[in-house]
Amino acid sequence: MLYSTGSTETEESLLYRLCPVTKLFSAVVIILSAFLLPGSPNGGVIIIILLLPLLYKAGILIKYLKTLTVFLLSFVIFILLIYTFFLPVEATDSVKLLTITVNVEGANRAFFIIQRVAVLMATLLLFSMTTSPQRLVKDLYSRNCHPTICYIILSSYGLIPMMRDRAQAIQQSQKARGLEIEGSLAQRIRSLLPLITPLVISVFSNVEERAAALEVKGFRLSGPKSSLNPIVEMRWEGLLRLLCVCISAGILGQWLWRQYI
Amino acid sequence: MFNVKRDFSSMTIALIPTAIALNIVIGQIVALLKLPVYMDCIGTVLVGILCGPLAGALTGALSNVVWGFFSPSALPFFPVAAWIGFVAGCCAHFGLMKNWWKAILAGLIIAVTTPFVATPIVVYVYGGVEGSGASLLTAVMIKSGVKITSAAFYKNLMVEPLDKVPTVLVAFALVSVLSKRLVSKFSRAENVLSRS
Repeated sequence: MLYSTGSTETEESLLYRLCPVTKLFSAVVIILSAFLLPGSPNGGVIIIILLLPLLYKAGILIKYLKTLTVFLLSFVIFILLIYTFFLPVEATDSVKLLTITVNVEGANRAFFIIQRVAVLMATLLLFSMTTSPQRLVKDLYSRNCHPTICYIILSSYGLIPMMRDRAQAIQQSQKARGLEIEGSLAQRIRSLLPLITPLVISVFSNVEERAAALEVKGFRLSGPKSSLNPIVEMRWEGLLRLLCVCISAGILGQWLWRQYI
Repeated sequence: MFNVKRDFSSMTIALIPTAIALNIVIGQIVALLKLPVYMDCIGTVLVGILCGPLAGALTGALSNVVWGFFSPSALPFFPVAAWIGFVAGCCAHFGLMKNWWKAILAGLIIAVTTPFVATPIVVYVYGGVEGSGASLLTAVMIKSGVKITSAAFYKNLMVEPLDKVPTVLVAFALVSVLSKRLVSKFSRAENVLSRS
């Protein structure tokens, strides 16, 4: 998982202390600004750059930039190649480098798309690196998000490591029985079902128990429920969220205006 | 076909997180075996078959939200995953999960309809190129004069059957090995069990 807290300093930094829902609202504003505002998505890029000192203070800047590069690298290479060398070119906006024709307009377009996607990825990555799923779900729940959604998200995170361990154990025991997981394509296809069937059967047998547990705990009952450790929110966060809603509405409004009026 | 109260029973709510985790873990097993497919929506298809189209759609959407915490690039594609779960549920409702050749047909239906949801996202957000190896296909088509939007659409149309047909077949095989007693507890058991 991308979320990690290195030290107490990290946990005390602003990015980690903000309410997850406030962060979510801010992320929506940044992404909308990159995609729907007229002109180039420079605004979003500037916001991300302005946030970098906060990441540095939290001690996760290097990890953040490394992960972002990994996510963007193949996309950037492909889009630059395709838009610069593969798009059919008009005679006026192309430059000839030795024997290769470079589509200048295509390259500009590619840079525009890269900026937008970079803002999108940078924002989502910032959110997922600084927000623990548990905190997000607890916050959503305290704001009347449907308990089923909260249960599903939280429970999935609990199940993934458990299921990974089980898959590992199944893989080792099938290998011990002589299953080849390397070799020709046909061989590898044949070994798929022996690896996943035991996993699925074993996790499905747990579903019944979990359903019974939900029934017993009165999960589907309506009425107010209380939390053991409620999320504490800073005083100005409500205001920030309101601001986010207003800006989002403004961005959407001007976009609709330009589209249809 | 849509019955929220019946489909979202405790069994369904307990199954969905399991299916989401299965999507992710099976995706990793497939990557470990270096198979040329993703197969990262088997859990979603299973929920569609056993609990109906709406539960399938919810599983797909939340699956990408959960996966977004591991890899943010999955998040923009949540409508695609929701669509896959929805169509799988509809196919099962109309009896396409009763035997293997009908399951292949269901896989083809999912594969042919998915590009209509995926292409607008790929084109609008990523400029038609999402950066996987299959983008080479898009590149070749663009070079031969096809427009970017059409190239992205045709690429999806070519790649999806290779992924979705095996996915649905494996999901069908998995449902058939589950015990009838267990399957009968899900709200859409009649999708897979014959009335005998």
